[in-house]
Amino acid sequence: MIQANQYHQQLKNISQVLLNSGMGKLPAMTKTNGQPVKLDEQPDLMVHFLRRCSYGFSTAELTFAQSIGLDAYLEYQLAPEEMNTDALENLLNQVFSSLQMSYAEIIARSRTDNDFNPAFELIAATLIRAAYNPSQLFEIMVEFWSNHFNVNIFDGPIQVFKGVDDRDNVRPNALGNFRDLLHANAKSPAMLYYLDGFSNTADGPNENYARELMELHTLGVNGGYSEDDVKEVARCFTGWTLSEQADELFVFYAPNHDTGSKTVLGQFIPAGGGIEDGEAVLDILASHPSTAAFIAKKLCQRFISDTPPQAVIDAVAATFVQTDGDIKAILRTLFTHAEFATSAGQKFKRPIEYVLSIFRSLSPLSTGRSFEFIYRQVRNLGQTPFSYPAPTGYSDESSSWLNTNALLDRWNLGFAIGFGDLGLGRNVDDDNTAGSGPLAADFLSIPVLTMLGSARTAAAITDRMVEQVLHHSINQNDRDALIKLAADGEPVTVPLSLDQAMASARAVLAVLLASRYFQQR
Amino acid sequence: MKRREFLKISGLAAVPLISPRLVFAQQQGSSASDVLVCVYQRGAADGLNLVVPHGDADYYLKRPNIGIAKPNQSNGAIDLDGYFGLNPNMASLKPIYDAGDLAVVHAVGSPDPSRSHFEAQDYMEFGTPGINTTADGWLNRYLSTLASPASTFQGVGFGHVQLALQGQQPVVGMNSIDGYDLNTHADDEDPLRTAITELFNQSAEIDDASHNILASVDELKMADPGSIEVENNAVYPPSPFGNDMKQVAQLIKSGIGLQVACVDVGGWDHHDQLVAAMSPLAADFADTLAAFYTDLGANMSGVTVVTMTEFGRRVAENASLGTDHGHGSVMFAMGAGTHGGQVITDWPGLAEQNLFQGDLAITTDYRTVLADALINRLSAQDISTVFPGFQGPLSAGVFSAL
Repeated sequence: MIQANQYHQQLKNISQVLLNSGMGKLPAMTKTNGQPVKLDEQPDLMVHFLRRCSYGFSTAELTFAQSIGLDAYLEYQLAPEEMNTDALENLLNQVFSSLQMSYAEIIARSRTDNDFNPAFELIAATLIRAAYNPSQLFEIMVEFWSNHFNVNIFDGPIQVFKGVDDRDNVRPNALGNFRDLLHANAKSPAMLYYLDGFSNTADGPNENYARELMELHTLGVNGGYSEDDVKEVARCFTGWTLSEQADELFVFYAPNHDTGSKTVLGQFIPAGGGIEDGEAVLDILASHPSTAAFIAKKLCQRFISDTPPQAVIDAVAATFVQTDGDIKAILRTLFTHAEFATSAGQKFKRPIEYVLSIFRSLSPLSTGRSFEFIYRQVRNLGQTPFSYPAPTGYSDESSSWLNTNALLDRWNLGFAIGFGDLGLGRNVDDDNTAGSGPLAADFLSIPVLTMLGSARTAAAITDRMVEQVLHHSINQNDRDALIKLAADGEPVTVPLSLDQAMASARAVLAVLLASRYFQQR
Repeated sequence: MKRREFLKISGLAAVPLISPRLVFAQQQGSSASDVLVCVYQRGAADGLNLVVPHGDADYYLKRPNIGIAKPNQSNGAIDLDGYFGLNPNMASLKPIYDAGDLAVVHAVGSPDPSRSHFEAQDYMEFGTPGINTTADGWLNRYLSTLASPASTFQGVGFGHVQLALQGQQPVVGMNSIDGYDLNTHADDEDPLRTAITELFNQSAEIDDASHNILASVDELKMADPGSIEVENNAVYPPSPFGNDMKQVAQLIKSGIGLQVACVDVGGWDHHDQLVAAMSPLAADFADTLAAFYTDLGANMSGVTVVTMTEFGRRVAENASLGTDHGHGSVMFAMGAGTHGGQVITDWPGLAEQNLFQGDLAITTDYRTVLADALINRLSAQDISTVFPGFQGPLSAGVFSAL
């Protein structure tokens, strides 16, 4: 498993470049202004949408979204190509040389430079994009498809292959067409290696890719295929392999192809075919109604709830069929469906979402160590990008993430961030030994004084922190509990001294970050 | 059982969390089960150099450079039964073997032919070789068969919650006993707890987990395993494995209600220079197990330790004087309830025609050994829940019945 300490120098270098560039300050550059957010116990639709289509958001971003309205904001998020992300991309290319390399260049460099680590560069770039890019929905969809077509980046040469796959296959198609994504993935060296397709020959068929292609990538486990279909699909893909002589590494090697006729899902594929046998399979699968239903359900589980209502799955699947897998159209149907509007709070944040939402919500002051915070905490909480060991990818259900140990880790992270003067680590963070390591404020310094503003009474402090952290109000019992915490034994109506008010604000912040309101989205 | 039901039964949800209650105290002494400690050798440990088949001539033919010499030769194996011998770095286990409290199972493993570390580990920990979509681990499913969970600490994973422990049953993952606590200032702790308790006052899963956190932190404080000293002059190696096992012993002695523990010991993927790389690991592995045995002393009558690894190594050494990924390997079983002092195996032999794709064949399924432990030492009734689809056999003669 990846260890932070082995990348210590790289972490420092990245942090320094981000700091020098001003990127370290990016979230804080958008000052809080405009009207106070309306406080509802249930978040309004815009807040709900932002919680689902972003990795967290500041008051400034909410104000912007409200100024253009939900429909326009959805279209804004669906058009990442219109956003100017050049500054960030240029910076990433400057720090991470592998991001612009061809397969041949990455392979050659890997063979000669022991310090070259394209896997770490991709993981770092992915987290930095998710943290800083305004194209939040796009980055979430990149994560979704990467996870859907999961490969484990630490499995042999995939650490060399995955970056090009991410750049050339996943990102260009993440809001494009599912069929294109499927075809690109089938020829991707990372997938050909991970699921053994490269060794699938007429003499020695390997069914690994064929099975996962139908079970995990398209039809779903109950999508209507048989064991015979698995064997036939494997035969169709014989000869799809890898060669260093090919620019994209993928080659169809005809001598290893099974040229007999095949029948896949009832469709006859005549004898004498070549690479088109596999391509025909991909087209059959991309057009299959089970694929539309399977992808629709998975997207609804991502954006609505662990157990989404059938009505919205059906609506999303219908759009998938009508548009032949147009991902933007599919997302429009999903986000404008009535079931989406009423699903607030039904998703438990996964570790990446929890960690990034702390960063993106609180406008931390620049310390130069924000990336280190994000990387280490995501790793400690168990969701390092591209690192899930099985082809299923990381689970999107709360049962996989919500347990005593994991929640205690999140609480302790929230407490550390809220109070600022505690170590980040507890239990799982080897890098931040309690008592001897750096303090939370060394990584993320939260501008509590700014957040506090002129609030001095317990009630005012509570309301102000709730508004800025959650952007919606909370139920009265919970508000009372926080007011009691903020009052710290004093009468709730008596203004506190600035020092006391700051301490109260920090305590309220700590509990808010631990609370269900911030664990869920 | 869901966490929610557990809470109702244990009464945790109704207990004021600032004045913790020792829910595990009722269970003390009433349990007719051993504590099961599962040690996982991550990276695929070379069973053939851990427990050397020095009586098999093919071993020396296939490992001319990295083979462990016969007993009584320089750096030779420590003979166990005239045919097998321990790696010379594992001498500390020999007295336990001689005392009848340590058994070796050889040519054992998961029947799935995967030679991917992650996939093979997942299969083993799910308890479903060949199926990687299983929702929970075999140890968590074992916990689900228990009548009433004794404690949040019924299952503890060191370092993290191992896949084998993951599932619906409440378990705890920890790096250290000291570190398993709320990360806050002493003055702030009570007000924070009060606020947290009031904010997590509904009956959703997240509320149950929250109550479990406060309860488990309190349970740990009350049981105070960190204050328990190492006994009988046992000396744990100053290694991660040694440190973890020392804390498992503390948890056991504290009576906190531990039923199953998972501990990892990594670094066994020796593709090159196997002898040099493996010697210190083998010593750490053996010395830690021996220290644990010494430390627990008479308590070992209620403790069973089982070790496993995802697969073994290729029988023939490679050009780098290491071994590549293979198939069968070795498991150790330790405890007073072990039919120790023997190497239990249906030895397939290392001649070419007896190998499985060039590797040591598996003649005992790892689930047979684990089922043996669960049935005989943990009074398990329902192996079909723990290992769905497993056809047995359910005993390899490794353990005596309680």
